[in-house]
Amino acid sequence: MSIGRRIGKIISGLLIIAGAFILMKVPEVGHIIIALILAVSLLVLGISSLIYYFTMARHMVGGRDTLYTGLIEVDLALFTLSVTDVPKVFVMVYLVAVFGVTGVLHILRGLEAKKKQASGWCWRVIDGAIYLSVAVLCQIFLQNTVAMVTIFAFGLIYLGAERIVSSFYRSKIVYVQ
Amino acid sequence: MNKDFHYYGTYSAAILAGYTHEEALRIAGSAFFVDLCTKPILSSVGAPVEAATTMLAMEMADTGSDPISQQDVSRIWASFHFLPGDLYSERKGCGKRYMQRYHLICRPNGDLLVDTVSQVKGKDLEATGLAMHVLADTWAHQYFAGTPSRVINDTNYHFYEILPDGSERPVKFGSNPAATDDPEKGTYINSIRQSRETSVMNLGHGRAGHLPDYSFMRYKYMPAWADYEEVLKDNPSDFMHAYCQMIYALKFLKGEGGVFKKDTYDTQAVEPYRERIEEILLKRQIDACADWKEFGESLSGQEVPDFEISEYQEAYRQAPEEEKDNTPMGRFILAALSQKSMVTNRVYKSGNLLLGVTSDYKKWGTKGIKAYMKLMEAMQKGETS
Repeated sequence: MSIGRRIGKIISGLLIIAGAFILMKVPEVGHIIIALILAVSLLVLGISSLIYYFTMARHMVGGRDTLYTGLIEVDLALFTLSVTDVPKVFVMVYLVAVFGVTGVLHILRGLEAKKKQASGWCWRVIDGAIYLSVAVLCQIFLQNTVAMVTIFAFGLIYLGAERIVSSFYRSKIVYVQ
Repeated sequence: MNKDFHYYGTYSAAILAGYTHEEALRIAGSAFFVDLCTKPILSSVGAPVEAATTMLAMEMADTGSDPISQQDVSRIWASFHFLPGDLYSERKGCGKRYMQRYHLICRPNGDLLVDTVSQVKGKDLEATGLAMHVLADTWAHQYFAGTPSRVINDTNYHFYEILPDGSERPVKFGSNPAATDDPEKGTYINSIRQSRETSVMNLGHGRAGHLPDYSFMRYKYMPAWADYEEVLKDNPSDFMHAYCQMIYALKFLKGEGGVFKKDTYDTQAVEPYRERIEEILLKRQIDACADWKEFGESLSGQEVPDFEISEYQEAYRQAPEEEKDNTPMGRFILAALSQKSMVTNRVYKSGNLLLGVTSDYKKWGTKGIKAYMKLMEAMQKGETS
């Protein structure tokens, strides 16, 4: 990994953690912040798709799909940004689903990896357990904005920390001729 | 290519190249072991996992989209199964990011193939076997890249099988892992379509299923990178080229001096057996082991035993520490480290970081990276060079 990429991962990890703390600081408007995060995520996704199209996918057979996807994502992001009265339940159900599915997949992959004696299975199970816990707890505290936002923020902190730690992995090998 | 060609096929090629039965078995065993040597296999006997030459489906599924994981995957697949054909090819109007992937497209007769074969000359038969696997795969896996890349490896609905009578039939792909390929019905398994550029589903020939690995298969399709131009893949012809080039390479490695030449095939050695070989290649079967085994045994007059991975592992596990490098698995590991190191360096020097970064040992030392010290120690002992 280049130094630039390492720095980028560390910065994005720190930003995610900072966002989590801000979220905990003002839990009463948590769902608005979450909607904002959703909109920003969609905007980032959309812009990424457009960049991907113009730099790579336009050379690909059937690459125009990427262009249309990017435009739709950007459109949805702008729509979400424009909505001030987002139904809280809708946002929470979405978050619970994302964390729950991710958690279950991580655990299943971890257990399968254990069977195959693959390395790192333990971390995958732990990751899965954390995501799943966040989902379950969000479901339990669906009516309690403060608790729910705190739980979501914890998930964000974990995500940010994971990005920072992964930026320290080695990727270089020694060339021997 | 599967066990049929990599093990039994390589065995018969080695016999035709003049190797003894025992030598041919060592070469064939090593050629096939390339498809088995995963990190879990290596770690189970305490060997360095950096020598892995393939990955479990499970490991693949867990591959992240971060550069480290991508480089780790690409080093394995590009070095051993999808050897890049031309690291400096040009294409107008394409950016650097695209070209880095484009340069990793596997093709036969590239400069890296010359390096792959040349570097094992004078080394152990396990190194020879490993090189034969890489050589054979450049034919079967051409047009795909050993890195997760949608813009290179994706395929679409325009995919037709050309049947023996010359008629065309649309290929029906499915992604049910429990199902199997059925050449009679024309239904095959491929990887799931993923829009993410770096998804492992977009690695190698996953989107074309196992079609590139079947010797009887003829098909035409539109590769993602080919600018809407149809490509015809004639596996019987490609497999025959691979076979003849293997015999030439094996004779080169067995002989004194000389230079390995690209685009050179020993058709003379094959000529007396051409009909039988073509019969095996054209037979519509998923597994041609029995036919290749029978052919190999008819050449050597000896029984060709099945490859036993446990013997490889056990010999390595039981050998004293200082003798491990002299076991078949130990020699294979050194050859694998050497190949991976060479390919990574060539790709890095071309300005392409998709396989990672290499460093000059004499200038920088190992900087704490211990895995490749095994190769350094072997070089210093004169076991490899």
